[in-house]
Amino acid sequence: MKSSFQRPEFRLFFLILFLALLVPASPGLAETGGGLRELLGLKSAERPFLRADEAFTVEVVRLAGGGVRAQWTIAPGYYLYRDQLEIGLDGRDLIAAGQAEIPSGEPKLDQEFGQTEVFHKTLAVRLRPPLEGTRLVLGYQGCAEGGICYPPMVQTFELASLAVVEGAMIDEPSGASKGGDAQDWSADPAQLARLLEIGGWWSNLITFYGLGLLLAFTPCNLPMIPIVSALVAGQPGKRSPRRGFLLSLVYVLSVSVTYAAAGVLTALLGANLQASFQNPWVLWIFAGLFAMLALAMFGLYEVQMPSAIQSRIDMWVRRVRGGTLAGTVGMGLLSALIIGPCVAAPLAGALIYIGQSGDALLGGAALFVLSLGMGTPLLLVGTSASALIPRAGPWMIYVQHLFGLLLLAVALWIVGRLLPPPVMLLLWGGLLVVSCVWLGALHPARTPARRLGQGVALVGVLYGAVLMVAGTSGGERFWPPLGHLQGGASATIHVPFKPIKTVADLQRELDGAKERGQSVVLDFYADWCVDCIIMARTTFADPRVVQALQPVLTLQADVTANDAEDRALMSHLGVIGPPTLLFFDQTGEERLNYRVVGLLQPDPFLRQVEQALGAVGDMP
Amino acid sequence: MNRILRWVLLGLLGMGAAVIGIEVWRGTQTAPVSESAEVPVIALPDLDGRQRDSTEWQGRVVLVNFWATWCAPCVREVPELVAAQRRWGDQGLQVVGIALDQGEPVHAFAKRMAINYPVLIAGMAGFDLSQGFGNDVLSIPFTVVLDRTGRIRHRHLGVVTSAELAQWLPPLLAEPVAPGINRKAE
Repeated sequence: MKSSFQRPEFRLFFLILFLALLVPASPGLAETGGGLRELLGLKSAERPFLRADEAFTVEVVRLAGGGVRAQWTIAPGYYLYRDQLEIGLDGRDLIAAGQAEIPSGEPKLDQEFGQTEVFHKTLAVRLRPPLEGTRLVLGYQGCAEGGICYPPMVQTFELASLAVVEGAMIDEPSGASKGGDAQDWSADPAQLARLLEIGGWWSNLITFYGLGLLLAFTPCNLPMIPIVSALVAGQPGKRSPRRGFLLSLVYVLSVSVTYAAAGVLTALLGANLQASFQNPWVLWIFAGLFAMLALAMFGLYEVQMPSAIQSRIDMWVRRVRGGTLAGTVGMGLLSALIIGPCVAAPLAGALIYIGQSGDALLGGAALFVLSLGMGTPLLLVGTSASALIPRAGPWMIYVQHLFGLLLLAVALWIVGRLLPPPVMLLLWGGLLVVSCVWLGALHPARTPARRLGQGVALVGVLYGAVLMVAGTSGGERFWPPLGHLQGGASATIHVPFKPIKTVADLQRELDGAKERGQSVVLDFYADWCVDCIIMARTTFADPRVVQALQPVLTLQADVTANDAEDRALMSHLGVIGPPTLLFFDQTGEERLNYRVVGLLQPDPFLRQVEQALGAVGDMP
Repeated sequence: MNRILRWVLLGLLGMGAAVIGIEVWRGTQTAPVSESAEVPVIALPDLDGRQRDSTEWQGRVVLVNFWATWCAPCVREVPELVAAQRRWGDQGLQVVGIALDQGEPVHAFAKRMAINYPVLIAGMAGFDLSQGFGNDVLSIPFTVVLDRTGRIRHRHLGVVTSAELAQWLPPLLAEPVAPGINRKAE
């Protein structure tokens, strides 16, 4: 028994068993209910869509600190419309009364209805006291991304029989109770999507295939191809090209399966970590990680699997007999685990990227095609078409360096949301200059083709340099990079916020505005709030917004410190945290139902201002 | 031992691939319906308040579409149905829209989209009616196609595409109306 345990097939079997056990155990899957179909992102054939009560569930609890919280859990791929929400207490409309704190939804552009706001995954609505009454009625309506809609649903709850949980109105719902364990972070998935935009499905796959193909031409891969080919398919000439191709294909597919498994696992893991991707510090750490991986590609040091593990796996692979189908499968599955220094860093990068998407299907597919890309040259060699493969040579180092530059670009892309635009411009410009110099912008060129290339590279260097100049002089745009330098008129504009700190400050400003008959907008801001920074750069820098807010007194409470005074101000107004926008009319009364929590783009913001404060432009 | 294990392993991999393949394939299928279930009778007012009845379309291929103006995918699908009625109407197709909605918005909408088939107003009770046609999930758009004898031949939840219509309708339109057979006599 002992001897057979040491056979590679046995180990392989246990490896597969282990992976199979691991998959259902991962919390990401348990959350969606498990099952192969969900893992593959497929819906059941008999019931391609969920029933309304499966797609949307709502749980209502009474908060010990006063008020009520209604929490909807929305199945993945389904959404609720914000403007279809109805919340009534004994026939009294709590939304119109401004007692319902409904977060702003994710913008969705419906072809028919224009811009609407929807919620995915979860929606938590807090109802503010006083809640005098007995029957709470919740109305909601939603659809599936797959293209069907459900009838409006109504659920009734007896207020008296609600469970009471710890926590007051101003608490974060996640910290409050077991009812809140539906992850607060996912309350606004749009935020995540904005932070780490993961591109489209096909573009991702094509990119990953291309990257895989490129990886095949790195110094540790290309010279290995003939050797692997001989191992897998036997010597060319001795076997028929068809057999060679078949064996190579089986090998490549087996390698890809292992890669795909890694992609799926990472994505599932990432799905549980997505909360942390909100945090600027985590983004910085990830950017740093990418930069370090990039340096590895430039040869400063090597990132690879510990050699002990590598040689172990290598040993197993050697024991497997090549030339047979089963042996080739085993060889492929195992040799995927031998990851050389050229591949380790880009692979780690790819896995991190996939992890951020949290999408298991995309993760598996992306890594699968990446591996297919890497295996493509092997397929060609296996069919004795090796003439198509370029010869190994020093040029392979360039491919390796190219990956370094790509990883650096990813690092920049990650911190792009955190740094001021001029700094980003400076950094991108720098990267462009370095890349173009590396492409040979400054090398003496001999052949005409090279000269042409050199010229193009020089143009890149010049543009990069201009970007750096633009960045250092406070520019924010890639094109025209120096536009901000001409005339003062086009210089950056921004809503002129008047800072306030305490409840007394607010009262004084509101009183003053009331005397002047002026409306007031109060913005809660903090340095650690990514959405606030985005809004400061986009919404509050939009000329139309600045124009619309001209007649309005614009106040800003910077709660970066989150000290006692900040907290007092927030609890005085019932604000949970930044970004929150409050609108006060000319009489100093807050228009409660127009309160906005979360990021708001310029266009919805303008509409909100118009609705909340009326035609502000008409005022004296 | 060695050889057996190898084959077991290969078999497992093959089975995995097969399961995945079948699931993917099944996910793309909306199997045509062939059972002869009892088909509910439609009797509802149309946009002008006139009572309409499904006996009116006997002998035609009837496409019943459950929809609503508040349902974005349903609204997207309407031009497809208008085109189908225009294309196959004189060959015997009758599209019937059942709006799970109030009258007024539907009226305005039908005018705007130039809907060329009868639209019946069912309100939310239309969901129960659609359940009678096999809409277990109770959501819309839901479409059923009845052949000339009144049997349900296709059920579809979600937006129908022009390709699907082109695949379903011509064969049904080509079927003869068997004399003396009505919907209940099977």
